[in-house]
Amino acid sequence: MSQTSVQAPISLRIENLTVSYPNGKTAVRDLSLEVRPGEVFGLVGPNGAGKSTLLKAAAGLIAPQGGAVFYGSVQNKGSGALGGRHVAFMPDPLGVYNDLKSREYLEFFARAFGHPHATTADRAQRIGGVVERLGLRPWLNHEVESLSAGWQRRLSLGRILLADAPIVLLDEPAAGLDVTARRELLDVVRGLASETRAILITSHILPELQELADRFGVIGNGSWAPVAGGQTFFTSDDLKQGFGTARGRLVCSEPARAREALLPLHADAALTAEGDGLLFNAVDREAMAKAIAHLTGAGIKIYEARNESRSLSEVAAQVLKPTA
Amino acid sequence: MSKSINPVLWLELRLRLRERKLWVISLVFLLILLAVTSAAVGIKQNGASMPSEAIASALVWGDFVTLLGLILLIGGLGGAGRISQEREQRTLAGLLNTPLTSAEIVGGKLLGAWAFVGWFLLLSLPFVGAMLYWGAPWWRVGLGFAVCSLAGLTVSALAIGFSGIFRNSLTSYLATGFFLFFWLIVLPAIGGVSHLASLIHPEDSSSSLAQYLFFYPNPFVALYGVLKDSGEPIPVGTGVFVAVVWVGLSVIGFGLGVAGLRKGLFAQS
Repeated sequence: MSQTSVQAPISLRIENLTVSYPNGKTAVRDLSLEVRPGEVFGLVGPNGAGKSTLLKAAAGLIAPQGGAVFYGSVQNKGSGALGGRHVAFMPDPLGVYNDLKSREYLEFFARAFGHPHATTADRAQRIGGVVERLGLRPWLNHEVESLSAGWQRRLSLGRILLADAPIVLLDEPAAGLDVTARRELLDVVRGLASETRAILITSHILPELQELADRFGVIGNGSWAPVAGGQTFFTSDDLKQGFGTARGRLVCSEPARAREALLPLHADAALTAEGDGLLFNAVDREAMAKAIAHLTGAGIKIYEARNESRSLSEVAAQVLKPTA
Repeated sequence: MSKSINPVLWLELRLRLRERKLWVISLVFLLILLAVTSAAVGIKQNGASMPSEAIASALVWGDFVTLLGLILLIGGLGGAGRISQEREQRTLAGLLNTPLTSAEIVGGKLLGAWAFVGWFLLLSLPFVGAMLYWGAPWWRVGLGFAVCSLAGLTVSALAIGFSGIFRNSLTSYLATGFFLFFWLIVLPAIGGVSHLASLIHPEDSSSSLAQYLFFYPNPFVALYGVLKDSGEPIPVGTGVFVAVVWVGLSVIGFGLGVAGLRKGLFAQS
């Protein structure tokens, strides 16, 4: 699989960004973020939270009312052309030129990104590399309109690769795709990250975003929504470790009796009998070991003990839960 | 290292060449010019007393009026919707996320729309040959070409400007149609009334000014001015004035296109 060259790695830095809609409503409020080279940052939030607006402002398509966007040390005050030199942005909904053939679509963007210095041979080489990498060759002479949603997304990723930008912004790249197409697309995104690009990605398909991203932030009403412990951002390790408060599951005989037996030991832990076992919502490893010893002593058989991590979906749902 | 053409122009040419209606209009246009030319030459062959200059004059008038009318329509239709269609098919964000500046994008679209005009000027070349063959002065033919070309640029640029400032294509088509109606019908009518007023009150300079502003910038009046082969020629100053007005309108259209290019980006999500 051929690789495309990447410009020197740089980070995307957003400082106290505020963006308002033309009607005056604030879409993004005093928001800061840094995405480092090689990092995939997952942006989570409900519809209308300001995710797409944040991405457009980061790409220079929308001029912010306050704050700043930096590509490395270069500040962008709302220039699409400057953004186009440093950032490759896949918008949602995805728009493609339906009347063009796939080959022409790639040719156009190769011309646009190489403008005005690319030679014909350079363009052909770049397009060839992208076509091989994304497996687009069978579709080159098909009109874009006739491609499935998955292949249209791939073609659009071809545009991202042709941009050869060190910063990549993906707005719902897997929207509307079936499981196989999503998997393939996410593999391509992983490949982009391995080339030291800084990637900011939004998705409503949280299990896959959790697999893909290194760090996360939850956005609600245009601002960061603080997660456990008041921290703004969290990593996949934070999720695995349940933000320091491990959740444990004991699969055992007689769960109801086991719960009764443990209540005096775990008065402060949320302890529930669930299905074939017990669920500890907040317990450390030592406490779990004690519980196992206690239950074994009480004649209850322990079949399995495991730590349960927090899922991104759970965290997002908890953080964004409407308050009364 | 090669200097490539504006990528947006490249895209526009690709997209427009796929439009079947362009080829149908081209065919109809050729048939009209063929009919005009055949009629003029046929009359000459049937009436021996008809001088060659009369044939040339008939060709010049018939062909250029047809050409100008078509170019105004094609220029307007070709330009309106150029930017709003990008919004409607949601390709604008991707187009703006390139190193191309807004001026390069709108410039490419304007050149693409003007290429329609150029295409019809090209199609008319065989008939221009016929005009010259029958003795039409080359400078008159050249000026006719210049009027058609510049009028086409003006209407294309304004149509693109409308497609920039109006969010959907239908509105930009309507605005272009309204402009053409105003430019071709309403303003000359005001200018004509002003002309009558200036005949009745020759001392009133405002009537002459209104005539200047409203009557001469009409493309058919300008075409008449450069094609007429009798009476007083239109003063050079008036010609320059008309050219300045048209170029000014083109610049305004281009500016509106650039200013409105990012309109609707918030709504695309």
